[in-house]
Amino acid sequence: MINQSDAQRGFISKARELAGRLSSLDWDDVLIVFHADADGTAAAAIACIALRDTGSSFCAMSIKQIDKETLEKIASFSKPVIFLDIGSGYLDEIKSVLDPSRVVILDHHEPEGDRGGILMLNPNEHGLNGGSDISGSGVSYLVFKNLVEDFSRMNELAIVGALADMQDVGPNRSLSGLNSTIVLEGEENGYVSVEEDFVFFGRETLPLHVSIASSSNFIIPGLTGDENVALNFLKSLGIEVREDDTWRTFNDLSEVEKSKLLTGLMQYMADLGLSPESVQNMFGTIYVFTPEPKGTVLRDGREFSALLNSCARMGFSNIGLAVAMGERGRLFEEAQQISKEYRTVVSKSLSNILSIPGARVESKRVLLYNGDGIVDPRVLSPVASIISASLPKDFEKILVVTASENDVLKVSIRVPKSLVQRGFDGGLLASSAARRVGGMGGGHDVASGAVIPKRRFQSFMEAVEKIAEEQFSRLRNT
Amino acid sequence: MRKNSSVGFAILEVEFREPSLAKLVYLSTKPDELVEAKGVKAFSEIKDSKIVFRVICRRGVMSLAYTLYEYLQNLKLIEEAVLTLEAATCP
Repeated sequence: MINQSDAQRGFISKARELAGRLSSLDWDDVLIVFHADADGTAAAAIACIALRDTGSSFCAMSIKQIDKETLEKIASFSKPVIFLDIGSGYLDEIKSVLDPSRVVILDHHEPEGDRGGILMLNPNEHGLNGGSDISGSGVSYLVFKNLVEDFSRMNELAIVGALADMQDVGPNRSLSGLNSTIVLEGEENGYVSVEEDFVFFGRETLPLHVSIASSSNFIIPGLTGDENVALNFLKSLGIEVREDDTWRTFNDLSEVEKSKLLTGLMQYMADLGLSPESVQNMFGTIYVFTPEPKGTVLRDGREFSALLNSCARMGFSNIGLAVAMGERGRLFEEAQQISKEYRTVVSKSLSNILSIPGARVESKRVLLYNGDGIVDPRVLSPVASIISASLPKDFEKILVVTASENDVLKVSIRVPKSLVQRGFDGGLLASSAARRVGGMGGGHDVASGAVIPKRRFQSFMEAVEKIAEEQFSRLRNT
Repeated sequence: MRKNSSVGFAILEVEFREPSLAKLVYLSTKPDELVEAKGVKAFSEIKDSKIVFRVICRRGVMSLAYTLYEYLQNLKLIEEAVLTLEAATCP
């Protein structure tokens, strides 16, 4: 049996080896294809920075999924392809359209199929967990850092990608596994500072009350989603929300004010009879990028990841990529505008699906939120994640949330960690159920998704119930 | 480098449905206050159906947060145990 540190060392050495092979291939014009999410964007930015610094030509395109049409479009470029944060789950499909000797895949999703002549690096094949030990951007970082001298920005981006993929599953919401090695490297080189603090969203940039109202990793009934209530709450605690004409942010609070706020929030939640676990989610590990300007979204790891995520979800991965590569000015302003718009869309979709009667259907094993016509398909995944975060810790059902886009139904699945620890695999559930109705699915054990024909929804749900039941019957006892 | 500093102070009031339950939970949590981490002082008192918990922490706001969290967790656990015992012993 391989122990974890052997596996990590082995993986780092494989990454170095692969970087050497990439150099020796001498590809002078490469197509970077990346997953259209924050982790994929960060992974692509790392690769693009390395290629730019080594003087290679490249172009980059983001994709939401791999299908025949996408692969044919990729083939039409007639260039060597580097897939980032996507591709492992579609090895046979890729080989059927592209020349495997001109394909590289750096990914952390579960591999499916035969890789043939494809050059691939995937943590799941090296005794590591792609869901929590390292993200797609982490894999990209471990390879491309070997091609350049200054990899400080790449280090930030690898942390951003891991946070975006919710890999902060270590103690006090910290990054663990190979991610923690990457963090340590950043700390030792002075790019990253690790602190423990509140993890409210927008701690660098948003007014306090907006920050409390916008946090989505935990729900505070009454405060989440309502800025006015949050503002009055802060005032009732005697916390100044403005300094002269400027709204204060979390970073402006003194330790005494933080104690006041903490006590106030705990009292508020105790009065509501909420479980202590829901309080615990309010604080955790913060990753601060010290070279980035104070008061910008780029300084806090989670805020940076949220910015890239917004750009990707709203269909502007190119803008996210430019910002991740270091572009500022107009594109950075545009990215922040997109982020604002994205939050509005998420908030609207969330309040709609939670309030419309009949959208919620609960069975023995599955909790379904049918968002067909209610949820904007661009924000399905965050809506599912927020609902999942608000469920009680001891809730042991599979969460399924849907949204429609023309004739297609998009499905997002979330599995409680307690079930994952006992062997439940959400990725397998999504892929098997989708395949039974002519759709496609996959992902991680804890978070997965599928795309199916809308008219097959009932059959899909029947398949989900059946496969979930089978997996429940095989769960390990802890 | 992990930031850690300053003094934090908190008062938390937890209300129970009746004074007798508050008293039982209070008496059960009391011995735990003897075991204090360095730099953390915590004490509680009972007021009718409320337990008032006070903490002074010289190890930064996050240490204060974890102390409060652990205390709330402890209260919840004891309350559940007391209620389970009550249900088991009452006809």
